[in-house]
Amino acid sequence: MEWRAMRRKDLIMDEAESIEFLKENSDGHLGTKNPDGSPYITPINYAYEDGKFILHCAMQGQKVENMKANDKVCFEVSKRYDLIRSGKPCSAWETFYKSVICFGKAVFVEDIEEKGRLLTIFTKWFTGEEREFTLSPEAVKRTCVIVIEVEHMTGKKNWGAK
Amino acid sequence: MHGQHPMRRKDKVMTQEAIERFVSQNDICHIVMNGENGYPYVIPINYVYSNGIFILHSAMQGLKMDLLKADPRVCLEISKMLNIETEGRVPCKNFKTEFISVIAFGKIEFPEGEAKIDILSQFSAHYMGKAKEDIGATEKVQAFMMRTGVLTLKPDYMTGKSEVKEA
Repeated sequence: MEWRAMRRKDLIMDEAESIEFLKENSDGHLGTKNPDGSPYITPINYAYEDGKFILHCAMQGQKVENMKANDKVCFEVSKRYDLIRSGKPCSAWETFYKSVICFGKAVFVEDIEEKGRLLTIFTKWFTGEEREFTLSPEAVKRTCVIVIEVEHMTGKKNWGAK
Repeated sequence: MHGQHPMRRKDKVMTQEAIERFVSQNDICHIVMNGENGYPYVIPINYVYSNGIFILHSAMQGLKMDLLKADPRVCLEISKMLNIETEGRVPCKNFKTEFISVIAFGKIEFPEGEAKIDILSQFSAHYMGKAKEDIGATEKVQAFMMRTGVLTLKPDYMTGKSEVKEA
């Protein structure tokens, strides 16, 4: 598969730093496709493990229906750190940000044990706590767990390039 | 209208008034468009919401401009995490997440000429903390504006979802 190279070579954030950024955050934005081919976006919490995003949600809803019909998704994580407004707009102003955009396929996890393992990783990631949590088999069963296997990733940052 | 799907969680539906208020108070959004290789493409971008229209700006070139010219259908999302409580042992049941999110559906337009200068002045005014009338773009500034990519979205409709203790 061919992907266009980033236009702004000066703003490329390399893979190691992009992954580091993904590990520092827990909220992203998921792009899917509606049945009529129009795009759809959802904010969602994630955990990241070895090139995969772990997501969870209810068993029903638009994003779930979309991914069941079309597994191609885009997952984006970004942060605006600061906006410097001095001098002329655009020429002197600066937005300090980092953003990572990933493309991949959504896989619905069915195996109960694997779902439990992923939900435990997710809970620890989300809370930042190592303590024990209670995930009953019934709760695991009725939760939808989705893994996005990243096929292509780009990172972009402005950290004071001007 | 593309992509219309009634919200599953009726208990979290926001009124149109609350939606307008929320989008007027923020200036970062995420938009999704149809991307390369049949995948969707999501990007973060600054916006200004004025008179029922989302105003975005960009370089004239780049992937998003090419993609949007080929297929202007987008979905624009503004969201905010307000509070997360993770006390207790049972995730979801004990935990509480307070959030607001709004999703707007529609087609991107590319204003040209005077309309472009007018809309970009509105955009600049927001970030400069001025009134649009006080921007007073000189000829040189107008020429600069003409070299900027300007995108607008007048949504076909917006949906809002919120879980907040005190709305």
